[in-house]
Amino acid sequence: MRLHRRVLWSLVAGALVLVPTVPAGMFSAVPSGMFDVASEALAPQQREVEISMRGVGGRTPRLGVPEFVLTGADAETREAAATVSQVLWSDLEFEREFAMIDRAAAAQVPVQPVERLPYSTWNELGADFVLVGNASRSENTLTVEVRLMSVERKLSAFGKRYACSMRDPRFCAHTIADEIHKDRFNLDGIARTKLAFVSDRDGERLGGTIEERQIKEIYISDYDGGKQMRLTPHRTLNIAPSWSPDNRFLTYTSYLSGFPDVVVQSIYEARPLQRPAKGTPNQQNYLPKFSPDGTRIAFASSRTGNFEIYTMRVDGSDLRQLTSHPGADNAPTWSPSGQQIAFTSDRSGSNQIYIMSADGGPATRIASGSNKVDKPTWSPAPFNYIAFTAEVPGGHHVRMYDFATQQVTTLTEALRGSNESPAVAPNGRHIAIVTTHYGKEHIAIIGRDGKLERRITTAGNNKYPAWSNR
Amino acid sequence: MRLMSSRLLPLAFLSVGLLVAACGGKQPPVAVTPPPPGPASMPGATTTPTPPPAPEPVPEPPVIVAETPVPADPLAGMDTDEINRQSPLAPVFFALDSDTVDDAGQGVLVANADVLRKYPTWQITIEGHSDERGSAEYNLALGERRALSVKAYLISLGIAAERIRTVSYGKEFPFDPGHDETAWAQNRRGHFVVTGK
Repeated sequence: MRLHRRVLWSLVAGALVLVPTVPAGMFSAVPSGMFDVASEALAPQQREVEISMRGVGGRTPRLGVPEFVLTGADAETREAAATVSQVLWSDLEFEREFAMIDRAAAAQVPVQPVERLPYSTWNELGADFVLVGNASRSENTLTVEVRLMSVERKLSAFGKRYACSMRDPRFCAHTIADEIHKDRFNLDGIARTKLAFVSDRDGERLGGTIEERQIKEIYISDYDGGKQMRLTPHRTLNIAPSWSPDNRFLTYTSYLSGFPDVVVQSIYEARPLQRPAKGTPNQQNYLPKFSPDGTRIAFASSRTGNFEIYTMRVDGSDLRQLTSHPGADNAPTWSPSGQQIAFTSDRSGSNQIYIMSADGGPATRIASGSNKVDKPTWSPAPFNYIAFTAEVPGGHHVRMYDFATQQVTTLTEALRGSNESPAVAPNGRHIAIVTTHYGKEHIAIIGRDGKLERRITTAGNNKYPAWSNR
Repeated sequence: MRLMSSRLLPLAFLSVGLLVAACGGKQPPVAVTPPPPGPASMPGATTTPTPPPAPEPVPEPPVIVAETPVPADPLAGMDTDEINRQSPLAPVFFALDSDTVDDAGQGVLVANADVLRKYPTWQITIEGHSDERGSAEYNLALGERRALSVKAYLISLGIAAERIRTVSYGKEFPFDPGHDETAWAQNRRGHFVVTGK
């Protein structure tokens, strides 16, 4: 597949495929999560050639990213351009489609526009491709042009111009990275996705108790941990966020009323908090999850005196009780199609994962290969696995049950401490977890091969990661 | 909560002189009995010096005084925040992964039930907590089961169900931040909070 991809390129080597300039503000990142960048590739005067996206001998192509060429730039522009370049390098490194040439090594190569690109120097560094960029500013618009040049053929394999907001160079870089991955590898990147998680980092104490209880609030960040911000002002315990399919709402468990209840909060608009499960002290509700089509929320409730799984419409209507078992049924998660729900139950004596129809009915246990498990999370297609928390002596590991092979793999062997609470990226290739690898509880990202890819948080204790949709 | 208590503070000063009357209003019928000498005593407090020895031949009154330390009961004059700072209701501790109220726990609940009978207007919340072992989601359910076990036992002792609320905090609010058995034992508990009076 990847060996020879048919690509379009312009007659003039290195010519740019122009994108119509998007009005300033369209790329605005405040709040970036609200916008999808519409970028159409115009292709004037093109003919088809093939540029292999493989390096020498068929290995992963090695990519160099020099600093951007700047024209008449002020300090602010230089800083923004440097951020784009740096984040772009990081985004491309993350998916491992390119073997990235170290930034320090790349910095030794003179920065030159594409016409004078020092191919021989890059060749000496082992580069198969060089991502050449230039940036200029017009008021609040940062215009960034990037060209992916083949060192061997001295031709452009990808070229686009982006009109970005000066206010959010990170989002600019994430957009470019996603487009390069899609165009060159037919890969759905996740650089513009976000994480939600729970943190006690602000050190605020819960009022009205004699004990030292640190409040926990919901935070969101870019997928790579950039731009972390607190979302909730409740000054109480808030846990287990889940994104709506359009990424405009979070549902989570909040103790705002003094007992746990399911709330739905608009992320970008000042709207009243919704409490669709209509919790009361006797009807407490936990661990909500938006269905893939966004119409329903699955959650656990102890309203019968025992934890059972329920679903309801997002407005709280059409409540359905899906389980009715003396064991505690908890932690529901939807299958990618929304047809099934996986959940945990201790009905066999220890907590195990079961799957049932999204309308309820009989439940089937999956062979977790573990004594006690929790927090199942279903991967999106084309992968077909459930990641979960498995209790092991001294803590937890994150494991993965593959439906195709029915095999269970431990993903966190290489990490110290306890590792739990997996949240799968929308392209299925990465998993956000809670780890004590760094001491306290922090969010990190591992690959589905177990490689530790990114540390996301550094302050406070951080738990309950949730990965946004694309 | 905070606001309320600070607003009540001046009131509390004002009411020092009226303490007896104020308490009388909230307490069982015998409240009209004159205050006994000696400092205020809390239920279960042992540091309080016993009242100066009274003349020997007094057959009945002392019994009543002993049964109902109403007049100078400090808890009666406190708001719920202040009451909770005194921890009048002891916590119940659990074995690992268990929601069974054991013998020791039953003893604690018998004593707590006495306190609740003494203050029949109190509303309480039983919080179910767990130690840090086990996953976060599982511990929410475990905390809930612990709180419900404690509630069920209190009801069996004659405490009205309407006075008791339960809430699970799972492993989110440990009492002892340590990571050893001493800390874990402290954190596997049914914790009492007076939420109304």
